[in-house]
Amino acid sequence: MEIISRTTKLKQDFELTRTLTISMLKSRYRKTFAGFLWVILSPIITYFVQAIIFKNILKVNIENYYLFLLSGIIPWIFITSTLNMTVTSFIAYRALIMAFKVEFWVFILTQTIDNLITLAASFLILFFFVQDLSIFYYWKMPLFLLATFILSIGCFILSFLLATIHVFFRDTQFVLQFLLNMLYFITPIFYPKELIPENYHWIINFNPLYYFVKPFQDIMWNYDVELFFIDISKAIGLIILLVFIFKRYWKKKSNEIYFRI
Amino acid sequence: MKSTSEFKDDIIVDIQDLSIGYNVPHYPATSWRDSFINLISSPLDYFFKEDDHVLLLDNINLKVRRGDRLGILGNNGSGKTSLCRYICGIYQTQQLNKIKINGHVKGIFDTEVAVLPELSGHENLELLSHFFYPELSSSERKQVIKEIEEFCELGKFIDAPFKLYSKGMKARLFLSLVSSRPSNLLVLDEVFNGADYFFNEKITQRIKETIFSSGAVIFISHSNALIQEVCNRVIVFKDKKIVFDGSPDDGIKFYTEQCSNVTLHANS
Repeated sequence: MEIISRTTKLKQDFELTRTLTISMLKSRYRKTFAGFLWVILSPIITYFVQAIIFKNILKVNIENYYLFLLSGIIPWIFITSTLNMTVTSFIAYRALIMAFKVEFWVFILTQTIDNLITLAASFLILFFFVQDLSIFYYWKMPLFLLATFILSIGCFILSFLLATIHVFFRDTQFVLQFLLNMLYFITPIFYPKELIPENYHWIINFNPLYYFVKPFQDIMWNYDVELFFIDISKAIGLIILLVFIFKRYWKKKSNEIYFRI
Repeated sequence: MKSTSEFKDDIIVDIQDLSIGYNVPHYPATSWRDSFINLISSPLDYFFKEDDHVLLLDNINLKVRRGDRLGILGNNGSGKTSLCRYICGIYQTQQLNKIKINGHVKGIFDTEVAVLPELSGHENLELLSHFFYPELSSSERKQVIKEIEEFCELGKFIDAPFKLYSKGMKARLFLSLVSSRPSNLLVLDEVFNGADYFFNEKITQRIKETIFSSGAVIFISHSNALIQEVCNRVIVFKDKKIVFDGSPDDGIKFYTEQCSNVTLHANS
């Protein structure tokens, strides 16, 4: 192949990702009844059901609970939907992978961006319901975008790792679903971490997904910028660890992956 | 991958001492459950037994020069398609420094693949053009797509969902795409075999024109007649190795005589 610079190659891959994302959105929602509306309604309905159950029925006594729940549940839905959608990516796109020179990450990034668009739409609608628009204040917005960026990178790396593992262990998608269901209850999304007794905090600390959710709670609910930067640093540390694990696994399996897909 | 400056002008592919294989566990597991069962049933083997080594290509040395129309013969699983996928950069390997390519490579391995079958032929064509011709600008891409749509004569079916296309329609679209721009190296893997479209004079003529106008062509086929018609050089694969390199007549004779009783291998 002709030698092209890394920048040109990267530019071409991003252009492919952009086109693929648009086409994927078109493909998914074409000829479906209220397709996109349903996808953005799903997190909204989930939010309202949980808000009513925990605030109005179980009477959870937390200040500004609706905002607290919102700050946790939207990133959580993004994480679970992205991981569930991407875990089978390499198997689903087997024909393309075997027919063209295409980078594996393009398929993961496409699905991540696809979910990010859905997340943004749901988020905007819910903010107007919650009637707390302070996140749009000029000093909060960059921090909110930074948290979203870190969340997306974290999900991307984790998705890439899981999709690779799924090529070798085809029940990874089922194990993942089970784990996500378990993790939902040990992630402080509908209850604050402070409600958990001190001696059980290690469970929360070992939950990798919480590191991506926490910065949203810091900036939207706690309004604690210092804590925000500490939690963002932890999330970045986790991403570095995930990249290290992924690179090692990929190096070991990259020759074999084409013959297991 | 080495830079083009290292090449003599007429060499398009230069592969030296390329052997590729991968390790598979002695008890290969395809699920976490299998893995767990293997661990329980033979824990010592699970941890200490060495992995088996699967060989894909064995000591390949190959030079393809400008003007070569190289036919590859070999039984299923002998390594033909694997080699071509490495040449096209589809399979990535840590030994890429042993595969030197001078110029653009276009490979066609499957004439029925769609990116998103629910979308129309036009939309899939646009997506496929990104895979085949990532270097095109937006205006060039529009021009190429327009030309392909006119050439493939699918008419109003171009806006129908790709999943409804017949095999022949898919092949028309695909072959029109791959033959729409010249390349230094064209790799065709069994694209003509047994399909109706081969008898479509227009498409066949253009593919042949592309074959003869490309810098070099690698052509895999199980049809000796096609190999004889298209190629001016033949290599024969047996047990992941190149065992013959010469003229089409001699190559076909060698293949017919020497390779007729070869055991089939997995992972072709």
